[in-house]
Amino acid sequence: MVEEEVLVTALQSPQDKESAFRSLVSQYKERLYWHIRKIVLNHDDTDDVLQNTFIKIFKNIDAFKGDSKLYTWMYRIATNESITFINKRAKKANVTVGEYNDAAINNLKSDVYFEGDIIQLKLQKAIAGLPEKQQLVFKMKYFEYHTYEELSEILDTSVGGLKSNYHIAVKKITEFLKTNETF
Amino acid sequence: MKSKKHKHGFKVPKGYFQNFEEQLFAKIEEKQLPQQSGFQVPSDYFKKVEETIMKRLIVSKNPPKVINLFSRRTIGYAAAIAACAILIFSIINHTTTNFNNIKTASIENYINDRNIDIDSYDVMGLLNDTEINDISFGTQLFSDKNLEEYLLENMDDTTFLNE
Repeated sequence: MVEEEVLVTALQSPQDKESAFRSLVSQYKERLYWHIRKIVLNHDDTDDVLQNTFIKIFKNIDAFKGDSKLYTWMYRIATNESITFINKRAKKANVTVGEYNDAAINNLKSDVYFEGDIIQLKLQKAIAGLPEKQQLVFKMKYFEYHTYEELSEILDTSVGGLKSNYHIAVKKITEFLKTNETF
Repeated sequence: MKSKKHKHGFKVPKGYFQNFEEQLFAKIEEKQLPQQSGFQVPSDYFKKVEETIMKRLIVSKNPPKVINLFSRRTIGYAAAIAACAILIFSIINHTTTNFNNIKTASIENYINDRNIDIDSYDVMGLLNDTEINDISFGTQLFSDKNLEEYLLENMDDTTFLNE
């Protein structure tokens, strides 16, 4: 916590802001990348969203009040940027978000930066069938190393609600994988 | 019923045993799902992305100079050019449509050279009675000899018979 306070102070100081920000990017780029990637699926899109996320963090760091942990605040920005990105793309293509995500998953088959086999593709398809919030909860709990308490801060949802969401998601996904033998 | 042998003092969260089985089987199911996502990332990406982000920040801090197309000077130049164009156009139109400057003899020659198809009835239609009466015709066109020859060649005998 002390280390975070020192970093925030440096980030909010005009003379130290740039060097502190470099340190922040170095420390969090991979974690934020994979978080965004699980949502937008494609590497190039993830790259765009990651850069936009860090730009937004840089521009708004002075408004960070310390009500939550710094990384919680950054994850929230990354999540919102990812969802906004998908919504914009879907609107531009004149399709629903669900249709857009289905197309993105189908594109994974020919994506050079996806080395998953059929089961991983089926898993993505199963996740895409969940309600938006449930998708987020599942992805963050299953693929990332967050505790329920951390997720509660990031997603602004109670721990109990998160646990319930997650277990329901697991059930639905398991059912989907059992009933969809072909993909 | 026998009382408990010892009190251990431990407690469990509310509803723990009621929810235990459900949570246990959910955990088992979770373990059966694929453990890898399959997503890959280009090599050196994480090394390069830091510099890309810092470059974008420098650009956003120093935005490119925007030239205002609608500055006072530009509008002034545009207005001057427009005024000149209007002036030139009005001068051209003035000179080309002023028939008063064309000499009468030039117009007569133009008509006599049959450059314009004017019928005498068209001309008569433009004149009032006073102007028509004032027209004096040259007598050489209507000499007695010419008139007699015309009448002999063009008159129909029947015209006289019906008179």
